Amino acid sequence: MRIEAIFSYEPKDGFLFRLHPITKVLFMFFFSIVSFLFGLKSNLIFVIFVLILIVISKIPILNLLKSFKGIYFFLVLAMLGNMFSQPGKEIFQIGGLPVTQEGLETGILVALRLILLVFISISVSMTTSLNELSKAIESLLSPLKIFKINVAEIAFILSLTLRALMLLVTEVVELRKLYQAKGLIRKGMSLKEQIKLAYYLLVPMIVITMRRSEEMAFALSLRGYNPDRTRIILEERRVSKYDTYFAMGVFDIFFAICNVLLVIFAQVLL
Amino acid sequence: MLELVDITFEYNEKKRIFESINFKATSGRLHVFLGRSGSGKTTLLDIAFGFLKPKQGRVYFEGEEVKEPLSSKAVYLISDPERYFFERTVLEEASYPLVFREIAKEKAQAVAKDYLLKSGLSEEYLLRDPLSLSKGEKRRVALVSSLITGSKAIFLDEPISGLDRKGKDAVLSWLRTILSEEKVVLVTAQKLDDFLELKPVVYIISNSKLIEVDFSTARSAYRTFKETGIVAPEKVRIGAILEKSGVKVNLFTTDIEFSEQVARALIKHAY
Repeated sequence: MRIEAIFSYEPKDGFLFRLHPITKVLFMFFFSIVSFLFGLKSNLIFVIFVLILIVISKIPILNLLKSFKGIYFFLVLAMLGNMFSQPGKEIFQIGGLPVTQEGLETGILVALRLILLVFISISVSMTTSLNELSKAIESLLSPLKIFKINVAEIAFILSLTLRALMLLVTEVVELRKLYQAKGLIRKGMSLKEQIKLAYYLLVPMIVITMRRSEEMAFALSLRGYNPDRTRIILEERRVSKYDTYFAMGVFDIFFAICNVLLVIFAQVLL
Repeated sequence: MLELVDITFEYNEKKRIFESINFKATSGRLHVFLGRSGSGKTTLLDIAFGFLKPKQGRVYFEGEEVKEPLSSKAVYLISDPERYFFERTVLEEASYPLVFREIAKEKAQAVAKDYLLKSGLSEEYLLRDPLSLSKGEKRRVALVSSLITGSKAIFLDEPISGLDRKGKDAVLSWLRTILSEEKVVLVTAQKLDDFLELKPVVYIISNSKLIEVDFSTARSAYRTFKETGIVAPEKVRIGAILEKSGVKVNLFTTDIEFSEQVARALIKHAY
């Protein structure tokens, strides 16, 4: 699987595809907040829940995991950083550094939270078209209209950014190919060469980004695009029974966890 | 020199791009790969250069197996390379691969100047902004910027697509000088028409197979084009028609020479 595929949306018939975009965006916000309020066990349940969602939505999960080589480094870093830094009961030692039980737990918790955030955002972005996403964001932000903020423009900027990100990723892939062919990128480069290469990669990328955005602005003005104008939406998605079931399921899990916590809390008190 | 043995490749299990194809390059000849969009022309170049690993089979370059990109041994130019121009002058743009390799700026620019003049750009272009050039001129600068590292094998992905007549002619005449230096040139193209004058070896990628077009007679060539569903070049079509009535023409000529041949043949036939 290529890296571009992470950002890409392909219409399929799966559970998350059938949900209303607003439900999905809300679900994303809900889980990212809740994940930071709760501890290890609940986060584990959340991750399993999201994994089940991804699997029943027919997103190729194994390929997805393969294309996340970059994030594993940060996961391990976050885990290690917490493992050694927390004071508490010592379990074992690695290279003379004591690992505490509290440290291990926080390490795993941080890693789980990261995994959860990545999985949720991917499951939403891979199952929602950009149009729908920007519309959902627009309608969710619409209360801001009271403060005379142009919500339509913000939503449009957001969706353009997502779109441009995809374009830039493909450009980077091509540029890498060009440089590999010219012998600028190869195995066993010295640090000095790598720093020099960063210049050769960054400058063209900035130039390309500027040129691309200029082209985009030109194309938009040519078509007379005005985000403020009222639009009629063809085949508007409506909130269906799936959305209700989904919301019920999410809140079920949420309350179940609350219950368990309450029981534990009561046991501690009594 | 460059050899592909029994290559099988697929991006995903649904669609197989290549099914055990074999290919051997001859130095001093132009190899053109034709095919519909999505048939795997660029993929074939990628495999031959070592960007992609085939699922089965091996690639050999100068007797050695290719396991990673042939970065400094061969030259590969992606399609529309002029998108990635970023230096301020044509001379700097053309010479940066050498400057990166710790070669003194003056020396690198001298080499670049030599190449640029050979490619048909005059001296006044050297200090201009590369973005201000015309598309054909840009393409030549990009070609110089890739070829400057020097190599025996050259891979070009759609080198003349999107160029006007003048730009095409410049690239083609330059290709002719490159070929005269006994180099291997692999080219992908949408249409064969413009390359015919360079006497190429033509391959068509169709149904995950690599089919060599037999140019011994115009009719056999036309038949291959028709069977694979690729639009045959004008010269091949006309050649096939003339051959039917017993007139033989040389297909590997420039447009003007070809018209002359046809005119002569017609006059001879009529009187």
